[in-house]
Amino acid sequence: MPNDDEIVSEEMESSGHLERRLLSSRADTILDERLAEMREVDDFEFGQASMSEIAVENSPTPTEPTPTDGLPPNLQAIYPRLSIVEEADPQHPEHGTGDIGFDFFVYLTTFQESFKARWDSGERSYGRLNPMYYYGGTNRTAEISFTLPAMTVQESRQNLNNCSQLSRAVYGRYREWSLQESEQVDFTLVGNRYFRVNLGSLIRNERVFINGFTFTVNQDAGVFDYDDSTLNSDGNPIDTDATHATKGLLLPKQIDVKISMIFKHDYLLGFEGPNRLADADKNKWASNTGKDWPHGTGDRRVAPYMTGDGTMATVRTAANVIDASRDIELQRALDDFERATANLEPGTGIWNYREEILHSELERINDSANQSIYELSVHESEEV
Amino acid sequence: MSTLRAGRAGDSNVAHWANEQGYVVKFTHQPTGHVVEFPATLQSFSDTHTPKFSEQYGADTMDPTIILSSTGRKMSFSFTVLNSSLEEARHNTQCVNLLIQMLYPLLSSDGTILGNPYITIEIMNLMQSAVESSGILCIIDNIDYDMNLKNGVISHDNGELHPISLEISISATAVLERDAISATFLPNTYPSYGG
Repeated sequence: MPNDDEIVSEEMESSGHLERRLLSSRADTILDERLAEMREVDDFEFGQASMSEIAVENSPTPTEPTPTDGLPPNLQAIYPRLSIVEEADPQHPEHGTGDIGFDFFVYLTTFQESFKARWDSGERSYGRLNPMYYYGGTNRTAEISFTLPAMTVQESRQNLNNCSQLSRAVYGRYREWSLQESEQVDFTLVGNRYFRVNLGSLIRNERVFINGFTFTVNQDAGVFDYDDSTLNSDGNPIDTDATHATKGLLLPKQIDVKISMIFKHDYLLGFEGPNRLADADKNKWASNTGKDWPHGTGDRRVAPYMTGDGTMATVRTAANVIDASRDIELQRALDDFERATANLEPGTGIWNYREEILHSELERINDSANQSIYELSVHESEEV
Repeated sequence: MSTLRAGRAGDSNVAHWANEQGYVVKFTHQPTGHVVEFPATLQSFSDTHTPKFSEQYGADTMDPTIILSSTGRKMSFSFTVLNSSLEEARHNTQCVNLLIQMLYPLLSSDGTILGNPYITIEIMNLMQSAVESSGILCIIDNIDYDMNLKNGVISHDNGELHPISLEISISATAVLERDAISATFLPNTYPSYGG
């Protein structure tokens, strides 16, 4: 059975709508610098293993980077993969998922996380030792800083493009609207954007708001200069790896990015709760996934209080009901798909693939529908 | 009830030495009884006692009459968690996870809060109960998790990433204790730093 991090990794692999970033020889340079720094740190014992052995322990044999496989495996073990993908507002999924997506191996420079318990203290009457304390919940926030280096002009353009996308994350989502009688179009703020973030074992498929984005050009690293002396076959100036052909364009060789985020967990946090009703589950972590939280620990066995059977009672929200109606739409689309592909020859590869899609999607819809029906029945019984 | 002890999974000399000396920071989650201990590689420790006064001025008196209404106590400290191998890093991550989880409450069967996350913190003689042999009951206001990336990382396939050096900073408010046995309201030995 794959561990939790493998599952996250598979999910990220399957979301292949964004290309990987190549760091090539620049990454090797940074890696060497990083390892040199790590060797200098000798305040405590590292045991028998050298730092380089620790860093790439159990990773596949290093291979030469190629344009097609992205960052080589040995560097993938060192550079965490940061994935920030915009998702639909859980309360208003009809407004769409948005288009911001960032999925790259990054050179992490800072990772700070803060867990702040919200305690309110009431008035303390005269002579009383303690005020009344009221607990209201716990906030989780994080600040991540990373560097985007550029070895070539193309990479620098790509970095700027990525930063443009990410910077939009802190702005609201707007919707076009107009009065029926009027042709005049206006825009209204729909709300903030929601993101799904993955960062190795540190942030694992969490829903967040991004509440801060800082873009800093590292001037010391230099920029790619303008040069129009390289021409294409039509005689027009073109970019090379080291120069660009657009006058007035500033392409930095290194960009430092800082992102702040507020977590919006979409599962239960605490001990016991509705997923832990059995006597054997006393004092166990509420989410009952059998995975460590908040940070992953690979394939290490979880502590006894974290073990679980994976059964989760979904928290009933308005979004679940909306999901149910979406499933009806999906069912219709699936019926259309079934009819449109009915004339394929049975037994062929494409037919098997069709059957696989139909089976898996139907199963998913049925599960979701059963859950929705259950929740609605609970809701009705509560109302009664 | 689970008890996790950081630094016990590898050949960490720092943890071994700290345990040998009895330098341990211990956290106990009151609603569940879960316990997690760390080698006390303290980077900072401060303990502030703040009295709350009100002043009253009378006619023909230069100085006000000071009336003490209460005294609060806030502690802040930070310590380092060191990892010398992947296995130790994973174990220590589990310990840090439990510490973070202690900021969350005990839930009832319908998901509402049943037990507030009060935590007992024990740091050698610096944070010791004046009444019994345990730590001081606190509410933790904040836990900061700061990876010291300049000291390097221990990484593994699938993006697993652990810092070699991790700094945990905590700020907490003490819930003052009353001595039920003694004749005094506040224990005579409170507060105490040992010695």
